[in-house]
Amino acid sequence: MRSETGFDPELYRRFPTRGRRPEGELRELEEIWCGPKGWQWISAINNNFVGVYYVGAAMLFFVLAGILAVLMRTQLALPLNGFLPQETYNQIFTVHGTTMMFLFAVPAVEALGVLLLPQMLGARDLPFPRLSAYAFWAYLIGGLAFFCSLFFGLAPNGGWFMYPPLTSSTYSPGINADFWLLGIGFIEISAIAGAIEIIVGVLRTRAPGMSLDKLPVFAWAMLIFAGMIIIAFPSIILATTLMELERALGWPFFDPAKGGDPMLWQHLFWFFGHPEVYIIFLPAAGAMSTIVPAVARTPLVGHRLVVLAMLATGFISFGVWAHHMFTTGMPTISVSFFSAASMAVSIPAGVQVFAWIATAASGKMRFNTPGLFTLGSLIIFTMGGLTGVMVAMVPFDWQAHDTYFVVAHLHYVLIGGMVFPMFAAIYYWLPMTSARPLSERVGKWVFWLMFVGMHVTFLPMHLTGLMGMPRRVYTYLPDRAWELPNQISTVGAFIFAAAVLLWILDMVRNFRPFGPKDAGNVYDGPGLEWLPTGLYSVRSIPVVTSLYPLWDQPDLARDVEAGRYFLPNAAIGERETIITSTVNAEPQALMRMPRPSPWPIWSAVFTAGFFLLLTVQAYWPSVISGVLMIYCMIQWCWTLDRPLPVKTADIGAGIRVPTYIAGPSSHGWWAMIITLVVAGMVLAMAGFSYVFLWSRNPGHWVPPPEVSSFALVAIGNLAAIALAWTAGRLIRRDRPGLAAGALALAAALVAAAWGLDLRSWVDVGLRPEATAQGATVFAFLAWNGAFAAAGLIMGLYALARWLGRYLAAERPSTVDLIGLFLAYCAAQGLFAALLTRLFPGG
Amino acid sequence: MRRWLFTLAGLIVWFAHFMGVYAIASLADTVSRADDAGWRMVSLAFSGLCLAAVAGLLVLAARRALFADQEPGPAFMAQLSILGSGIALVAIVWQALPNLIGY
Repeated sequence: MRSETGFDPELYRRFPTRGRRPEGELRELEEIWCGPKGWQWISAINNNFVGVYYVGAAMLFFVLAGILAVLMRTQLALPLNGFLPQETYNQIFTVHGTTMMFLFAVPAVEALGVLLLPQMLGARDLPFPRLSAYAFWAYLIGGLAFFCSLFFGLAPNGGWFMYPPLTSSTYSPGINADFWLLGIGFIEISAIAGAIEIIVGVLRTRAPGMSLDKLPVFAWAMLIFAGMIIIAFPSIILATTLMELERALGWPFFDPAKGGDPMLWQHLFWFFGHPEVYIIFLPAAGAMSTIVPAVARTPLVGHRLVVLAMLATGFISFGVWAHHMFTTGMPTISVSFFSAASMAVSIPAGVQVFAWIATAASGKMRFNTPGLFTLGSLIIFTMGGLTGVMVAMVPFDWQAHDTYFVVAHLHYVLIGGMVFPMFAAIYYWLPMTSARPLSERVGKWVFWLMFVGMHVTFLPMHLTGLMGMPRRVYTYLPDRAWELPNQISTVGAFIFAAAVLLWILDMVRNFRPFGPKDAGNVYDGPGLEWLPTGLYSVRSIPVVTSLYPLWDQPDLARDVEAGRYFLPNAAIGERETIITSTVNAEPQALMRMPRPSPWPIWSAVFTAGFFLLLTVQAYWPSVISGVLMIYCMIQWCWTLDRPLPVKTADIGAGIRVPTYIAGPSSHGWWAMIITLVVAGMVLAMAGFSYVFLWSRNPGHWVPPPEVSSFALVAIGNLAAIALAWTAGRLIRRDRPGLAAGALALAAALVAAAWGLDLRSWVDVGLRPEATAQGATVFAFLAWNGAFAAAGLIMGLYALARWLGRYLAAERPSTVDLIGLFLAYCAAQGLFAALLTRLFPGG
Repeated sequence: MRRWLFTLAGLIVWFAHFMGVYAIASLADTVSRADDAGWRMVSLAFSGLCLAAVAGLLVLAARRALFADQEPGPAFMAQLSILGSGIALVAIVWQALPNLIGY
């Protein structure tokens, strides 16, 4: 058998080890990974805490958005009802949709990943626990502030997809729409932070031997989910930024009178918005593919096909965004392509559904609460999928568009594809984090009330829609035959609400988090997450030889608990986990993990402060908050990349690995590359926006600046790339001063090239508020300017690290990562300068 | 990284294909008409190119899976590559149909 990294797989034969482990090993682990005391719970970073906080917060938003749904249904129960005023109704349906999509669905599945993945992968924690804590607190503060805008009449009211021109400052004056734009843009940053954590965690911190064929299907789903976030979410970040620039500064990206186009918003929004549906669905499908085999007590049928189906879903989800735009007058051939792609989506979804049915049929399905919720999900999701194929047909979509038929379809897909699997997951995995499982008896009531309530609410909506009732109306006239289906839907909403209330009561009665012990493997699950665990995760990290280790390795729990596998102790007396290779999960290094710190939390507080103060137009306090955010982040980073007392460590059975790695093997390098992919996607979407707006009105665009200006910008940026690369070579030759200097100079060159580019456009008389060309060129310049400023801060940071003697040949990560960032900034500046000169032409 | 690229190659070509046909139609719409016969032929030629690439990948992945002496992880990736290229093959033909039959 060939090795991926030079590690000899024969060494696995040393496990499980024999003999007793030294006294005090377990106590040391418990002390190092001890839980927070008193107010320290705020600064906890361990996934056992942050994961529970995260799931709890997501479910809180589910309940809050659900209450809004009940209010809406009460209003719609009768024609000409006066329960809610029109403006309040508009705010409520906007906040309901936004909260469900942005504050519940995506964070809930991300939270499930943060909570489950370390144990499922056999890691001590995810690789960037402080980043998880930052992502959680940023999400919670931002989400609550967004939701509370409702109580002050300041909530957005333009629908969850905020189409212009309705949401432009002309038709939506006031700051309501700004709450959506800044609030959601900010929350997406939190989602991206979580995605980086999940990708690096799944690829680099698996238990030894857990090669990709043995990677749990839930981890596969989370990996694809996180990859999709990295590709899709930049589009909404760009869209919200452009819209905010238009509203605040009058830059006309979406104003046709000045060369803009509201269709641009729809393209950008749905390039994010449609993959978002699969971003929500895939982790839930991963949970289904984990729970169905466990409750049916048999391996998943078609495991490879299911993994392929999830990958295929991830890819095709980026090819169907315009099926939300069939009625916008796009060319028929383009509409036909999108229609074909939309129908094709049903194939990978169907593969998964048939795999679950076949698994349930081939095993001995238990109809306990998780089993019932998976079965309910299957039925509801399939029904939603079928109406999805219906609306993929263009002529049908023309009839059903913007009616209650679409409301019914999307709720069937999202409730069947995400909410029911989420409840299945809560019932299935809660015994892992609580001293008691939830009540089976109450759980069955919860399921049946929810299942019945769901159908009673949404099934009649298909008819209401086909009878012509449009979405987003706060009332309707009598005698249109809409009364009865609306009344039935309202009754269903109350039944659904009763189910959620019952579930909350059961949670209050039975949930015992953070206790000294958990309820254990009550459903006989086969994954590593069911090994006995403490706050340090598993006592020792097992060698995995099967996709279902607890079923196929009968003594595993006993040996793991006895410390007979990898890392049975704290090898260097710190919080630590094993870094493994991406394909075969061969041990590569020992990773020192951070301890709790208040800096990520303060960073999150000031990040939220920056955005929220900006929203309420308190500009100077916002700037102060932004400066404090940067200060906290520097403090956070300052403690990283420190020297270690030993170069190698014994991770069990005499196997030694390095305690520090740099370059493409290190987790930091992976995180930086993923961050740069996010930035690159924003740039790509900005490039698309630029070409799109140019293609609408090419004759009215002014010629670019002289070629000489581009030559200077290019020389500056190319020199910066060369210097960034040289810095990496210099640090490896133990020339830290020169390396830091090269980085600082590279940052200065990026900033200078940016200044030259800005000057050249100002000189040709282009103004951002005058035309769409001006707006997009200056948007590029503003984006590059933000990166140049970040690059300057990083250059100064490198100099400070050198002065503090924290740069050395044996610790090149800081220089590598700053070098990567600066090289990207330079390449981005070059790309923008080239594109903005190529398209207006000369 | 090369292993990952190989595993996902079929799906990446599929992605390139649907983005490509959208882009060609948009370009055609800008300079002439989206359903102009000449531009449709360009789009079809692009689909043919993608089909050939996917077929090549399918053969390559099948050879790698059949003949290589591999450990479980890479073998699994080769199998995924075969399946991914297979689904891409069908999907590309499906999405080229509007061009072929004149929608």
